[in-house]
Amino acid sequence: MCEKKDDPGCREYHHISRRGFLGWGGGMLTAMAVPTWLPKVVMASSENSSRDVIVSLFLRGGADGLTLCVPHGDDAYYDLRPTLAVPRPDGGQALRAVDLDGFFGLPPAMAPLAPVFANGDLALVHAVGMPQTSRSHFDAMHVMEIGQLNPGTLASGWLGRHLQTTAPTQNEGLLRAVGIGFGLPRTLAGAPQSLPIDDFANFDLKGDAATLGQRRAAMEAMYAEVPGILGESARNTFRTVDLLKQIDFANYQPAGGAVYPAGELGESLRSTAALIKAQLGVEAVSIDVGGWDTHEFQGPLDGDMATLMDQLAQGLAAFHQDLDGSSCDDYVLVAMSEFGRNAFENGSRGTDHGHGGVMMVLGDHIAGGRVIHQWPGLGPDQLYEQQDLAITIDYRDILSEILSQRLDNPDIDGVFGDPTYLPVDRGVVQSG
Amino acid sequence: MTTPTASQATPSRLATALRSTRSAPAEGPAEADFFGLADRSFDLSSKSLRLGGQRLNRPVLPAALRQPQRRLAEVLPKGLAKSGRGGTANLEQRLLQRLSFGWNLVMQEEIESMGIGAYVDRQLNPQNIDDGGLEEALAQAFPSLAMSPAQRLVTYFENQEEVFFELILARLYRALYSPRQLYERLVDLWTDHFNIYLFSDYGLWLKPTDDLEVIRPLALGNFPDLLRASAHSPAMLDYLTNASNVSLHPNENYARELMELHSLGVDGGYTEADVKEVARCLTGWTFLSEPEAGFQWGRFFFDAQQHDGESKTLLGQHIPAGGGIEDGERVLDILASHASTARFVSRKMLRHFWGYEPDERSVDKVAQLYVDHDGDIPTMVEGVFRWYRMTRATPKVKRPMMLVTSTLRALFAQAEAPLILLATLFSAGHLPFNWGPPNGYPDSAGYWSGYLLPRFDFASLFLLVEEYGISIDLPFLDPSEDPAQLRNILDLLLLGGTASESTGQAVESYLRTRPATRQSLAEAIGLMVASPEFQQF
Repeated sequence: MCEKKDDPGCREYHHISRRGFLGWGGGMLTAMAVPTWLPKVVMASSENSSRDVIVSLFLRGGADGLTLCVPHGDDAYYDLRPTLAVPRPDGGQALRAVDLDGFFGLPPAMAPLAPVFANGDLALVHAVGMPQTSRSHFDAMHVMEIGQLNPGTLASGWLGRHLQTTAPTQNEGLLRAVGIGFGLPRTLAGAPQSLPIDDFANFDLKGDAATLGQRRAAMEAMYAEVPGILGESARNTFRTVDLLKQIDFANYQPAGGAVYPAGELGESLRSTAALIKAQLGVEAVSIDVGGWDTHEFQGPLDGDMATLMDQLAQGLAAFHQDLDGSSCDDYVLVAMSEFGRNAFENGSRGTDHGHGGVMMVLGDHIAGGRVIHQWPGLGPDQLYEQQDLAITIDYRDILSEILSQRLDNPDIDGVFGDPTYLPVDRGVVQSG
Repeated sequence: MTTPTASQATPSRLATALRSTRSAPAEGPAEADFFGLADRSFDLSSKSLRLGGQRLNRPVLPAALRQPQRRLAEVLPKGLAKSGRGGTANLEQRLLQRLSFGWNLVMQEEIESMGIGAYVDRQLNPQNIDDGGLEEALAQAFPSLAMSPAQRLVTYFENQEEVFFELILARLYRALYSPRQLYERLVDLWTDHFNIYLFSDYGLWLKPTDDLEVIRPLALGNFPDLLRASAHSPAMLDYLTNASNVSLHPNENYARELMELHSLGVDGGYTEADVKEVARCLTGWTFLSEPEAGFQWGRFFFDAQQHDGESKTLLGQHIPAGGGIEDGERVLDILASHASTARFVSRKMLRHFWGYEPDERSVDKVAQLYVDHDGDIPTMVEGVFRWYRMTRATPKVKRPMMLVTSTLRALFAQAEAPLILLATLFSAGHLPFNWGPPNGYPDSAGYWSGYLLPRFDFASLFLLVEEYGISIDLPFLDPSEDPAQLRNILDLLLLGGTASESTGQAVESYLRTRPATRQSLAEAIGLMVASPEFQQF
């Protein structure tokens, strides 16, 4: 499955990894040419670094799937969205859909992703979601992040359980998952060795930098002999600080001429790329993107949602270019939202909470260049509860395939186990 | 923060408010975004720290609450004279740690002079403890707390973050400064037991009323009353979606959690069929959620038309047809008087106050008190403290809230602008009323030991950055004092002289090698707050 089985690091860093030592920030600088943003990286040997790193992007608020991936071939779309529809690709307007396959298209703000789609590294999934009935953000996110229709008191997220049920790839699994931001998102809840990190460049003890070394030494002395989970956790924290210090996030240089858009998402994706390339054993990254709750003045062409999509498309395109341009392309990124929105636009030039939505899957090993769908149609009799795009693909189908085929998890039941759910192969991952 | 003027809850204004809150903050980090918590400029080491665009620096503390600090000047020398290093917590100290949001030397002196029995008795009767004007001060500073749901909604729908901050800050200030500490710890226990997530549906408008009318008044009442009040609480009916539990389409959500989490416990001997029957009994239990309700919006309402009027059978008991609202009341009686409930609640209480793994014999004893005294909470609590030699209690890991409050309480610190407290709780995942699932914040060492950096950040910074508004004014904490003596003072103040040799040594040698400045002292205090001993209680 992976051609780089023997070499845990990206090609750029093979000269380091072949030295075959493992140490923690001990100033093991090599005399060879090391990228300046990665001055002290030291590679651990790995049993299996061929597993893709998974990046889970959650579009919070209910992203409108009928804008993210425009069904321009369905006439009903234009009846439902008199002011919010994205014009057909062959229309005369300056701002119109970019055709993907004759039926679906990207909105103009997402145009940067068209070439990625064309070269087969991006797949879109339509009319997808968790087959649940709630229109509450809370409930919908809850079941989706937990990954069970009836989670009860189950508190761990689907990605957390994936990590629980698989062995770490390297570095003794010191830092297996990162949630970018404050607090770990529920998707990662229960993940062993996971941390929320907001500011990669400053992941360290705070306070006066002049006294930091001495304070750190004092704290390490206090925790050196403490038994049990508390002592273990403190010692891990210090090691993770050192681990992340090996990467100079501030001076990270993207490959392939990639330029990340300014703003939070661009920053998060840029840090994620640096983290993946450094090959420190991080297996999962979770990123939240807020702002998709577009009840009013949605602006799919040149308004609020267009701005959001522009950030998203530019960010993903840069991320793709950055990793594609390196030898470190064993990653898969999935983007999802808690639900799509009403098929009808409302009276405020916006859309209310709905049902089926869109997922995006990006990566070098996915069977992209396709919109995966079983289009339910937008006609009056085809809408879910007469108002929403129906869900015809369970979002867990997509995740199951990725987890089992790209992340080597043989126990999908342990992640999504649910008597009401049977995974269906949707062919999102390249076969062979 | 400016306080919006209270408005009348007319149907039209309610309609406007409800329309605008339909796009309420979403759960998870999006909600944090909404309140400005997730702003990337939110850097703990930055001096221009803001939260949600607010400085949050309204002083709310009445002067009377600063009194104990003066007592400390008398107590400390006595303590220094008699305590050696490396001691273990005595019974009094351990007991105070467990019944409060943070031990301190003045409490220690009080309990030693009063005797344990009298001290616990006094704490079990909070109405007899002068609160130093705290409640009055909070009511003035945080007007949203006492409003009806309707008034809260129409007053704050354009400033929702005010409701959020006021409720959370009131929780923090009470834990920090209320002399009714045991009572506040029970509020903590029941808040988790009957967990309601502030960002579920109408939670922001309804939960403050649940806190005011259910949890706080009954925290030291009896458990059956608490269970019943919670079942009538619109916040609970909303959160666990009983509001949509109607005869034609029963919704089992609340019925299930009522048995699993609030009363019998998951192994309490009920079946799936019982869940369905309880749900049927509770059909029609809802709250007024239409604008037409006017000032009654958000109040409990039994909708007889949506109630399943047929007979039911649950837990072996027959409920005849036509009972109406009495069906639900009957269910609550059955659950409250069930032996499984007595044990489930007793075990939880022991876990909260004593240790993670109480033995079965003790659970039996406290459960027997529940049975003999109709679930009287003070009797049970007294039993917990009486039967358990607290010195034998296994240490618990402080949850982040306890870390923060116990630090400030030990040092008699004043929190004028509690930004760093909120920031710490947010980063550590323990903001009050912010646990999504119905089981409440976990009470386990494993859950809370995994992510220590926010604790270390708090320890490093809380005294260092003046703008955080945390001040301590203890004349005997003099940077020019001998490091060995400072070590003893800090050990005594924060840990009652129980610091390990390695912690004491680390603090002392830090002081020895650093210049004798206020900063060095603040850093040394930070080290002791970050110590393994101080993470536990």
